[in-house]
Amino acid sequence: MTDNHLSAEDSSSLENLLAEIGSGREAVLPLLQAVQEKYGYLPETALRWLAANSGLPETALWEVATFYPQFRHCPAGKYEIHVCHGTACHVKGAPRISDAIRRYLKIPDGADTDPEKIFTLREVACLGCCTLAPAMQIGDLTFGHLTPASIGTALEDFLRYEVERTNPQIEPEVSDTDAEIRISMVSCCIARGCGEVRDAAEEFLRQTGVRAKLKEVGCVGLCYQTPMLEIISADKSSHLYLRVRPEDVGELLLRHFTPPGLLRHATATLAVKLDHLLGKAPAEEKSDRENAPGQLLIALEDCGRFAPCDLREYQSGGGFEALRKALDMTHAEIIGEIGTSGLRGRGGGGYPTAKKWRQVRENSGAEKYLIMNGDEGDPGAFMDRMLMESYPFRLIEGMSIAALAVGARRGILYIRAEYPLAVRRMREALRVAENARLLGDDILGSQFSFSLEIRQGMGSFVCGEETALISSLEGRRGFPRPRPPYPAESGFRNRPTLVNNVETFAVIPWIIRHGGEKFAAVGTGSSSGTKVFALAGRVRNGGLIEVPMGISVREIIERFGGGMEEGHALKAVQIGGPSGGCLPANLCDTPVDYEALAGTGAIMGSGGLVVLDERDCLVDLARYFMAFICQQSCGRCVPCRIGTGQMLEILEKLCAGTAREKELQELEKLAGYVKDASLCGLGQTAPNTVLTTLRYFREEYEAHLRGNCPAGRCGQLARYFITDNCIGCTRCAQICPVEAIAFTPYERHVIDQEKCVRCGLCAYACQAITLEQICRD
Amino acid sequence: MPGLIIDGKPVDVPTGATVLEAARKLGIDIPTLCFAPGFEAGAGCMVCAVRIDGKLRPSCATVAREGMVVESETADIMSARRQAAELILRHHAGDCEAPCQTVFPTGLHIPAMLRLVAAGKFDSALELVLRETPLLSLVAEVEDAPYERACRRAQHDGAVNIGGIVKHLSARENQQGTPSAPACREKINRKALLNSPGATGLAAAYFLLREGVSCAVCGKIQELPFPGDMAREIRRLEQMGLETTVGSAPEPDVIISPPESNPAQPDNVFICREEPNLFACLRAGRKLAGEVLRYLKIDAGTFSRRRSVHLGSISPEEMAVFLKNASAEARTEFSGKTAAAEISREAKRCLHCDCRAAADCRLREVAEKLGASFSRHGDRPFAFAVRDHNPRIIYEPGKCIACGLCEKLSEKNGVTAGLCLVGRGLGIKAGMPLDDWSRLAQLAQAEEYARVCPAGALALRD
Ligand SMILES: Cc1cc2nc3c(=O)[nH]c(=O)nc-3n(C[C@H](O)[C@H](O)[C@H](O)COP(=O)(O)O)c2cc1C
Ligand code: SF4
Ligand code: SF4
Ligand code: SF4
Ligand code: SF4
Ligand code: FES
Ligand code: FES
Ligand code: FES
Repeated sequence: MTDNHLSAEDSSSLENLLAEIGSGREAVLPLLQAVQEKYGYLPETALRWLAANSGLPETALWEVATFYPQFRHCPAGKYEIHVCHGTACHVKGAPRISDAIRRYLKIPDGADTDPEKIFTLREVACLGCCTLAPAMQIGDLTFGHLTPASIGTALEDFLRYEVERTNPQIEPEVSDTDAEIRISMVSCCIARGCGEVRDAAEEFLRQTGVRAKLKEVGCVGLCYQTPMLEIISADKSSHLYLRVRPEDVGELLLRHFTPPGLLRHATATLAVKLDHLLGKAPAEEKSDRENAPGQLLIALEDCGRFAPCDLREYQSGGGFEALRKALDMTHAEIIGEIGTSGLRGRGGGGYPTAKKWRQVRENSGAEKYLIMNGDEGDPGAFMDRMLMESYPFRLIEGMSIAALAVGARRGILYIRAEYPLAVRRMREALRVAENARLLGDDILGSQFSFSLEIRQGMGSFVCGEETALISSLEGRRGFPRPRPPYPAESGFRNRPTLVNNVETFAVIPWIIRHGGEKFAAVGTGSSSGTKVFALAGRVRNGGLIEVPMGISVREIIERFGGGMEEGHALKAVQIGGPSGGCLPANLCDTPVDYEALAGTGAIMGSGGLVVLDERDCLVDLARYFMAFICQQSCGRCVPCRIGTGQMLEILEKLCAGTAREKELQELEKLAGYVKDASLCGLGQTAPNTVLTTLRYFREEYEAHLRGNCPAGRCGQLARYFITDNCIGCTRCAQICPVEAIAFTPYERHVIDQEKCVRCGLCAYACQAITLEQICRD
Repeated sequence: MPGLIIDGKPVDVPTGATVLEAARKLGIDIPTLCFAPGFEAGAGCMVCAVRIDGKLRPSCATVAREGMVVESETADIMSARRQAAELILRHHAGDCEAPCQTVFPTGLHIPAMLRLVAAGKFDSALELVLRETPLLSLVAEVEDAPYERACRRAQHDGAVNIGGIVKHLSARENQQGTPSAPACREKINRKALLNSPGATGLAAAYFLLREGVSCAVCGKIQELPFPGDMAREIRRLEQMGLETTVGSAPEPDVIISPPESNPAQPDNVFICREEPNLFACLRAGRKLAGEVLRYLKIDAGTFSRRRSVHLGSISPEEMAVFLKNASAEARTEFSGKTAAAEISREAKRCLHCDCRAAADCRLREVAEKLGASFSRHGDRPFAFAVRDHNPRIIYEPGKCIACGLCEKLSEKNGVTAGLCLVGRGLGIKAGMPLDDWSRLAQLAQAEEYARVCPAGALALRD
C-alpha cells in the first residue's frame, strides 16, 4: 500500500466502520482496533483516510496509534507466534525460547518477522498456562514445556495442523437426559489438550449413540490436572477423571454409559481391546474439590459445573437470586452488607469496596458510570481472565448489584486485548442476559435500568491503573492522571465512576446471597474472605487456587501446590507481580493479609504467586520485572520514565557482571526516589522487587558485583563447558546453531567460547555438557 | 476559598487553585518545566514536587484543598527536585555550550562570533570578542590556539581555524589605531585596588571595570612573559577607566594582591595568583572578578560561568547531522594577506554546536538553580538529531523532555496535523502525525511553539 489512495472497496468498508463505531474522540481506539483487525496492521493510507473522513485530528489518531504496543505499523507474517514472557515462563527459560525461534526462523535483529513473512514473533505476557511453562501460542494452538531444541518440531507441527485443520464448534446441546460429560474449556485447559479430549468424546457419542450432554465448562480450579473429564451418569452420580488423554476417553465413557442397540457389540469389542490398556487410563478421583480442607469457593463457586454461557444453568445454581434480593433492598442496605463483609478491592490496592461505593453514591450527578477493570496486566497472573471465561453471568450480576447500589446506569467492561476468549464469552453472555431482560431497561420488572458494553485494551499494562484506563476509554493515550480527584468523584467523562476489579465483582453475588457476615467469618480481621491466586513456578502443581485469607504462603505451597518440585528447596516467593516483591523462604509463614504482606515490603497484588528455588536468580528476576516496567511505563512522569530506565541499566550491568559498588548504591537511591516521586501506582510500586530482593538477598547482588551468579542463571556470567565424559558423538556439534563446536568425531569436543551464544541447545542434547560459573576473582 | 498551610505559612486561595499557585502567592518559589500558564498541568517533570501527607506530589497539578499541609523547601524535597532535573539531563542529547566555548578560558561564545564573521559582520564579531576577552592582542598571539583542539569539526576534517579568525579580528582592531573598549556598566561607587597586577590581575580588572567597579593600580604592573602588544592592552584598560598612576586611593572596598604581600588577609583582600600560562591567568582573573563581585554584592547574573550539558563523543550519523549546516570545504590557513571573504568562508565551516536556547532555556536554568549535576555517565539513549523542515523553527528531538506543551498548543490552536507526543515510555517524544515531517514546514505559529518549549527542542532558527 504505497500509493496514497485506498481502493474503492477499502474505503467503503472503512466507511462502514465509521458508521458503526462513530467518530467522536472516544472512538479513536475502537476505530484503530478495527483497522488493525482488517489489515493486520495500521496502513498509512487507512490512517490518512480516517483523518480525512472522520473529522478526528491526526494528532489524536497518531498519539493513540503510537502509544499502545499492540498496534503494528508494518505488515505482519501470516501467523503470529506468541511466546510467553510471563513470570513463570521467564523463570523457566522463556528468553532462550525466543532466541531459539529467532535463530530457527532466521528473523533478523531488530525485526519481528521472518524473511518469508510466514511467522511474526511476539513476546507476550502470561498466556494463562503457567503450568506448561515455558509456553507459546500460535493461532489457537498452545505449545508447552518448550526447550530450544523442540522449537523446530513445534513449528512443523503447527504448519501440519494448519493444513489439516478442521475446527468444529459445538454449542451446549439440550437433550432429554441428565447424563453429562463435562470438559473444562478455558484457555489454560485448552492449552493442555482439552480440545482433543472433547473431540474424542464427541466422536464417541457420535459412533455409539450414547445419549449424554457434552458440556464445555469453565475453570475447575485444577489447572495442573487438566484435561479433566467429569462424567455425570444418568443416576446423577459424578465421576471425575484427571489428566485424561484423548485415547483414554472411549474407555472412560464406557465405564459409565451403555451404548444402545446395534453398536453394543462393536463397542463391547472396543472395550475388550481397551481392557489391555487398563491401568493406563486414569482411575477415578474422588470429586472432593469443594471439600478440600480449607478451600471455600466463592469466586470460583460451582467451578467446573456449568457451561459458561448457559444462563439456565447459572440460574439453576442460584444465579441472579442475589440481584433479585438486592432489588428489594435500599442502596444503603446493599452497601451496608458489603461493608459488613469487609470486602476489599481485589485489583491490588485493597481499598475497602463499600467505602468506594459509598463515595460514588454520595457524589451528586445524574450520570454515573461503572467500570469493570479486566485489564489484568500482571505478566504472571490469569485469574481475572479465568473468571471472565468461566463465570460471565456472575460478573454481570455483580456489576448490576454494584450499579444498583451506586446509581449507575451504564457500565463498561474493559478487557485486555490478549483475551479473545474472555471477550467472546462476555459478549455472548451480555447478549443472552439482554434477551432475558437481565440487562437493559426495567430489569426483572423493577425500575432499575442498566446496560453494559465491552471495550478492549491494546496491550498496555498501565491501562490497568484506573485513571489511565479512563484516559484510554476517552480516546487518549493511556496516561494516568494525578489523583485526587479520584474516579469516584470525577472519572469517565468527568462523572463519578466506580472502578472495580473483576474478582471484586465476582464475589458480590455470594455476599448478597449469604450475607456479609458469612464472608467476614473467613479470613483475618482486616482481610476477609478468599483470594484467588495464580500459583506457578517451582511447585509440583500450579494453577488457579482460591484460598481463605490468613493462610500462610507456605501452606499454599504445601497444600495447594503439592510442595516443591522434587529435589529442590524453597528459596523465595514472588508475590504481586511487577508491583509486588519477594518473600524469602524464612518469611513464608507470613499470612496472606494485606497488612501483613505490606509489612514485608511485598504486596497482596492482584494474585500472581511465583515460587522460586535455588535454581532461580533474584537479581535476574529483578531485572526481568524492571524490563517489564520500562516497557510499560507510560512516559508521563520523569521518575518512572527515566528513573526506571536508569535502574534497568544498572540491573543489566549486574547481570552481566560489570556493575560496580557505586552503581549498586545508585540503584538503591533511585529505587527510593522512583517509589517516592512517581505520579501513579505503576512507578510507585515499580521498585518493590528490587527493594525486597536487596533487603533479603543482598549477598546475591554482591556476588554479581564480583562477577558471580550463584544460581548460574545470568548467561553472561556462565559458560557451557564439555566435560571429560564426552565420547565424541558429535551431537552437540550438529545441534549448535552458531557452529561454536567443531565437528571432531570420536574426539573430545570443545566449545569456542567466543562464538557461543549460550543458547543451551548442546546441553539439552548431551549430558556431558554443563554450565560453569565464570568468576572474575 | 480553601485555606492551606505551606511550609508553616497559612494562605487562602480561590477554589480550584493549585498548590503551585498558592505557594507563589506566598512568595515561595517552586521551579516548573512542564507547566505553562493557560495549559492543563503537565504532572510530568516533577521538578515542582512538594510533599503532602507524606507523599511527593506535583504541585502544578494538585488542587489546593481546605486544611492541606504542604512541605516545599525541605532538604529532601530539594533533593527530589534535583534528582528529577538530573534524570532529564542524563537523557539529554545536546550541548548548551559548544565544546570550543567551554574550553575557551573566558567562555567566549565562539560559534556566535563565527556566525557574525561568516555573515561578514566583522565589527560586530570584534565587539562580541572584546566583551568576553581581556588582553586580546596577547590572546591572538598564543601559538596553536589550544581551544581549537576541542572543536568538534576536528573529529571530521580539521578544526575550524578559530585562532586565525581571532588573530584576524585583533589585527583589524590594531589597524583602527586607538584600541576599542567593550561597553561598560555605569560606574557604581565601589573601588578595587590592584597591587602590582600581572595578567591575572589585569584580567580581573577588565571584568570588574566592565561591571562598573572602579579599579586602580598601586605599585607597578608586572612585566608579562607573554608575546603581544601589552601597551595597547593597558591603553584599552585605561579607556575602560583603570587608574594606573597611583594617586591617593582612599579606602578601597577590596584589595587584590599577589600572595606573598598579605600575611594578615582581612576578608576584603583577594589573593591574585599569576600563572605561567596566559589562558590560566585569564581563567583565574575571571574567577577572581566573580568572587569580588559576589563579595561586593553586585548582581551580575550573567557573570558566573553557566553549566552546560555535553554530548560527549558523537557517532558518525550525528556528525552527518552537524555537517548538514556547515560548508564542506577543508580548513584553510591564513596569512596576513588573506582576504576577508576567505575568512568568512572558513567561519562557515563551524558546526554550530551550541544550543539556540542556551540563554533562555528553562531546563538549564532550573537545573542550575537546583544545583543538579550536568555530567552524564553511561550511554546516551537518544541521538542528536535535527528536523529543520520549517523555515522558522528547528526541532531537535534529542532535547525534547516530553513535557507535552507543544501538543497542548497544537490542540489549543486547532492544528490537527501539528506537533504531538508520539510513542510511550522512555521513547516518548514530540513528533508529527504519521511521521510526516514534510508537514512541519507548514507549521505556523513558530514563535508560540518556541516560546512554549521549556528546553531548546523547539527553537527559532536564528
Ligand atoms: C500499574 C497498575 C496496574 C493495575 N492493573 C490492574 C488490573 O489489571 N486490574 C485491576 O483490577 N486493577 C488494576 N490496578 C488497580 C486499579 O487502579 C484499581 O485500583 C482497581 O481496578 C480498583 O478495583 P478494586 O478496588 O476492586 O481493586 C492497577 C493499578 C496500577 C497502578
Ligand atoms: S509512574 Fe510511570 S506509568 Fe505512572 S504516570 Fe509516571 S511514567 Fe506513567
Ligand atoms: S535545551 Fe537547554 S539544556 Fe538542552 S542543550 Fe539547549 S540550553 Fe542546554
Ligand atoms: S564546530 Fe563550531 S561550534 Fe563546534 S566546536 Fe568547532 S567552532 Fe565550536
Ligand atoms: S518539543 Fe514539545 S514536548 Fe518536547 S520539550 Fe519542547 S514543548 Fe515539550
Ligand atoms: S503462561 Fe507463561 S507465565 Fe503464565
Ligand atoms: S482448570 Fe483450566 S483454567 Fe483452571
Ligand atoms: S510536574 Fe509540575 S511543572 Fe512539571
